[in-house]
Amino acid sequence: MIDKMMISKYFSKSQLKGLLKTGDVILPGTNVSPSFSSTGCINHIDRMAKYLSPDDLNGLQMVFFVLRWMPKWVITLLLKLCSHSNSFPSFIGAGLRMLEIGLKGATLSPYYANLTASGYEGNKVYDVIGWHPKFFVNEDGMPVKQTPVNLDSPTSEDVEKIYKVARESGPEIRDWGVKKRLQFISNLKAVILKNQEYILDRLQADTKKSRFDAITAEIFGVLDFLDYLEKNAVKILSDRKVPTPFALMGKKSKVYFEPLGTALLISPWNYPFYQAIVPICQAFIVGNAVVFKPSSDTPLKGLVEDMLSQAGFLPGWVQVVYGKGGKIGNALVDGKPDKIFLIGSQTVGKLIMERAAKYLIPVELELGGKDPMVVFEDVNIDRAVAGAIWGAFTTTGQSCTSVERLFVQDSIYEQFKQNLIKETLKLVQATDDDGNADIGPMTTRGQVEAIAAQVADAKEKGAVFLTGGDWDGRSEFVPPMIVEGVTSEMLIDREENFGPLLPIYTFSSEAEAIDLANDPEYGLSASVWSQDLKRADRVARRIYTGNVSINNVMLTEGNHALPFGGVQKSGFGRYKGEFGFYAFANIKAVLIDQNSAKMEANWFPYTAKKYRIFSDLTRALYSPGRISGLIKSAFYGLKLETYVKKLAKKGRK
Amino acid sequence: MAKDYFKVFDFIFVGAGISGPFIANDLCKGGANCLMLEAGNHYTRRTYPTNGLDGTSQMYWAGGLELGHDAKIAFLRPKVVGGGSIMNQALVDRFDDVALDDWKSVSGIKDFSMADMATWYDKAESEIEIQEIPAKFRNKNAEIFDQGFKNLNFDNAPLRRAQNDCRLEEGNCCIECLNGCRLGSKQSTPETVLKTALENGLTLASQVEVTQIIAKNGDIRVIGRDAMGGQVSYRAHNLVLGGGAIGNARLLLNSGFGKKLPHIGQGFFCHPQFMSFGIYDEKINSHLGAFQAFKSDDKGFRQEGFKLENVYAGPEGIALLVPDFGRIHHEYMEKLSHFACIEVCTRDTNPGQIKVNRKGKALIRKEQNKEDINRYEKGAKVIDDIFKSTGAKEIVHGRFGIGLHLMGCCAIGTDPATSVIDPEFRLHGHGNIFAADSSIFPNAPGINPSLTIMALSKKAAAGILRSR
Ligand SMILES: Cc1cc2nc3c(=O)[nH]c(=O)nc-3n(C[C@H](O)[C@H](O)[C@H](O)COP(=O)(O)OP(=O)(O)OC[C@H]3O[C@@H](n4cnc5c(N)ncnc54)[C@H](O)[C@@H]3O)c2cc1C
Repeated sequence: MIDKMMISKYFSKSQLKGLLKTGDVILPGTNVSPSFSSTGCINHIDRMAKYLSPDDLNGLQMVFFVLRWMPKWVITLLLKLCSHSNSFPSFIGAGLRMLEIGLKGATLSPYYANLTASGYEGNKVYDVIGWHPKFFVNEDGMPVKQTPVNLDSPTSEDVEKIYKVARESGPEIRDWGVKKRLQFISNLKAVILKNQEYILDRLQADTKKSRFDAITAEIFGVLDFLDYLEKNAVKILSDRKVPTPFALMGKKSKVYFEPLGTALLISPWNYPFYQAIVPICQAFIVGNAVVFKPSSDTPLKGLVEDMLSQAGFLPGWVQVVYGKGGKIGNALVDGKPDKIFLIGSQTVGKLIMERAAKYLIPVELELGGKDPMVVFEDVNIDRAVAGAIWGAFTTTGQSCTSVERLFVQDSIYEQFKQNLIKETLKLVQATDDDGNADIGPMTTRGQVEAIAAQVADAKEKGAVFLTGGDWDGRSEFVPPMIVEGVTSEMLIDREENFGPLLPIYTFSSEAEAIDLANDPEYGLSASVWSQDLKRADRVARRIYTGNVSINNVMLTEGNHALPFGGVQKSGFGRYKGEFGFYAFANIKAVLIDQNSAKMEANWFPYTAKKYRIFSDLTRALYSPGRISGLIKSAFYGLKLETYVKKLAKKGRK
Repeated sequence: MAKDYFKVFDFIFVGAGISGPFIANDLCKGGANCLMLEAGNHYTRRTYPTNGLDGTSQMYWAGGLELGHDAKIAFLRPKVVGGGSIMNQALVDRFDDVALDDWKSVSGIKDFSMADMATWYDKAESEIEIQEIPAKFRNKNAEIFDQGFKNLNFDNAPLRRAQNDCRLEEGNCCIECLNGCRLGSKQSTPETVLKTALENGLTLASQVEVTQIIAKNGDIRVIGRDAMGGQVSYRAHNLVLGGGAIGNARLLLNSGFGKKLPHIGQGFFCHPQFMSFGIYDEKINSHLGAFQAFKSDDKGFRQEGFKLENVYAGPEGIALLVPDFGRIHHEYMEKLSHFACIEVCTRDTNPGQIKVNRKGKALIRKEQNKEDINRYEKGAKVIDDIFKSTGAKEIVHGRFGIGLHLMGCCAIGTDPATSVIDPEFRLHGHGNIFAADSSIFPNAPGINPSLTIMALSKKAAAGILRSR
């Protein structure tokens, strides 16, 4: 079948429909021959369109645009007339012959070149017409056979090839332009929607998370992001005019947003689909080729490539590389991408940045957090409790923006705590298939061990476990644990836990809350809860962090127009939102002047007279006093220009 | 190439087709400092396109077929390093008395005689290898051709092809040679004279289309457009035009030479060729093995102004030639393996004309007069008889003619009023602009042109070297 995802550089969607319709009139298919549309050979039309003369291409575009709206019998009639072109007066006859050759050329050539859409399973045209010329070529005549590049645990040699492919794909991706690239994004959206259940199955198999967590964070989240791109990418990535100051009169200033080249993206295991598609598409829409490395714990092998390919992405545009970071990480950096974007832990962040420093490759790091939630006494307690439980335990606490420290004002602490315990105990923990479980088990064994260490340390140092105290320290079904009496000696107070562990604390004043919420090391996100929005805003401004939700939790990520990123050891740079485009863009400044005989005042030769006029002009331009300043500036400007002209003609003397 | 901007070359060549590399090879050997500019891409054996869609799109001007004002003949104009020698059928024939005498009288140049040309043909042939297809490798299509000629008592001869080893014994099917020969057997200029020219210091820039020539004070400047669309310019003492009939005419007209030389663009010929197909009950598989082996060699045909050739084409090409569309089209194409194919090539008498429009695009005006149509019809009739005598069940005439031998527009001759190039291969009135390619043909010889282009190029090169 014809790939509905077809995108052409040279024809619009409706022109392609016109071509398809015409193709099916010329080649309707028989019991042995496939029809034009069924082969999907239209997918290869750009191979021809690229080389047509501009006039011929325009002609075809127009014809197909018109034929798109014609019923098939009209096209049939038109072709019949063409078949009898010789019976018409020469002028009309010539037109008909040109039309016939144009229409037939555009349809017969891709069809009889035996080209099909990927996955086409019908009769091949060469088989139908019995076209099987054999051609044996020995070493010296043989085109070099490409040994396939190994993307699974690649060697450094493979990595070199991977980057070669990426670099070769770069110009092509760039050539499509934002608008056409966006069509691939729209296709991808449709593909993901269509394959939603399958993707969820794959996600649950790799992450064990609850189906509800999976659909909200990974499917809804991804679709919402793609939707955001569709609505905003063109606007944000279009060339921009910026003002040109008086002193540069007559010139134009512009900003272009161009791709950087090849982006290396490294993602963690907690949201393997979201953290794949979002950075990939963000980098791609700006025009970059992508090398993407998912976590070896949740690789979703083949899934991302499959979705992208169904959406029409070519294999070289986004290459997914599998393997353990420890084994292939260095090689991937050594391949010298033009940008590295990592979502992961501090440890990996440091290693990558250090390696990248060797080549001065720009990096952008989204690392972990130890995110505070600050609850003032004037809140709706039920809502704040529910928010805390979700913020701390969604995806079993395995989010970088999970609530890891809960601060409750002392006046409501006891009531809040009781509600918190009661509601937490109601959570259903399982890897379900119908959406009826709240949280799943832990995704990785390593994380289970890390949590066990923190729990043992806390217990030893006297922390009180209000829930989940009976966990055996081994089962991957780590229960939600609310912990009281945490002190600064305990690991649980300082280190990111990345699990369902929630230490709760009290505070008495706004100043104390701010002090407690400000972590000495991290600063990814925070939430502030209060009826008094002015107070909430005051606190939000004073917490040193990248993202703050007021009266909600982890919600800045819910709006794809907002940037995302941290401060301190939570990383740097911003991705998503308008600023996310800039992470992958070469923001180019362009100043346009006319080619003329005119000389610039600041060029050589320098003379004492020019110096005097220039300093008068500077004073006139930048001294206060608008009207007189303007008049003076114009006067000195003119004087300077006249003098520069004279200098150009006559030289210094 | 930027570094070459300031350099003044001895010779700049426009077009790396057949003529350009033949001349450059001799001049480079003679120590001249040469730059060759070619609008098309530079492919190698390893990179030739391997299907008809890519081949036609990538290696011809305008992405494939060009049409004249009446759209009755489709022109195929090579645009690739190697020009026509990359995708042509590599048939190499010397001219006969008929062709040369005709040239002599039109051009006023005495040298157009069998005796004088023989030297140059010998020299040209020494640069390439030429073979006949051995009898045991003739395919069924060739057998039908041969049998038909025997049945009807006409004379034929084996084709002489510029090739060195098609390794047919290994089972190769050479039809793909029409998109460039991956074996390196076809004696295209990149495999022969262009290769040695490059070894002898020729600078070649592909994907540079020359758009203007400025000849002033004995100095040449050429302006061109590179692959990115940017302007480039180069300087030289001399210029050699090897852009082919349409290419040279277009360039000279766009550069304003038409004012003094009104004959530029006049006298365009193309040996209109028409394929006919005989459909047989049994499979013919014309595309297998060596896809061509015979040509007509009949005195009568020569007098009538046509010749027949045993040829074939790719399915994209044949699909355009069979009648109608829809089911009927499919029915023909589903029988493709039952097709035999013979082509009539006419020696056209009615000159066409190349003009340029405001945008500098070449406009082709080429009509067949009564005589030309008559020649075609006589040839097509013989083909019909051949097919009938060999048992064809149905005969199909191609829907339109094809122009592959694009010739003329810068005719050689003694009189600047009726010609463009002088007998010393110089542009009339310009001692430092030369041409010896297909554009200088004063009329249609009715014989495959490429060997004569090579011979004339050898002769021109010798003249240039002598006068240096
Ligand atoms: C399919 C086919 C089959 C043929 N079969 C045969 C055959 O069997 N025997 C035979 O003798 N002849 C055959 N011919 C014809 C033969 O190939 C040509 O006559 C011959 O190639 C002409 O040589 P040339 O050097 O004059 O020009 P070409 O080979 O046409 O080369 C001209 C080159 O100049 C370039 N050029 C033109 N204008 C410019 C410009 N402004 N700037 C830069 N570059 C420019 C073109 O791109 C082209 O590459 C065939 C031709 C075709 C197309």
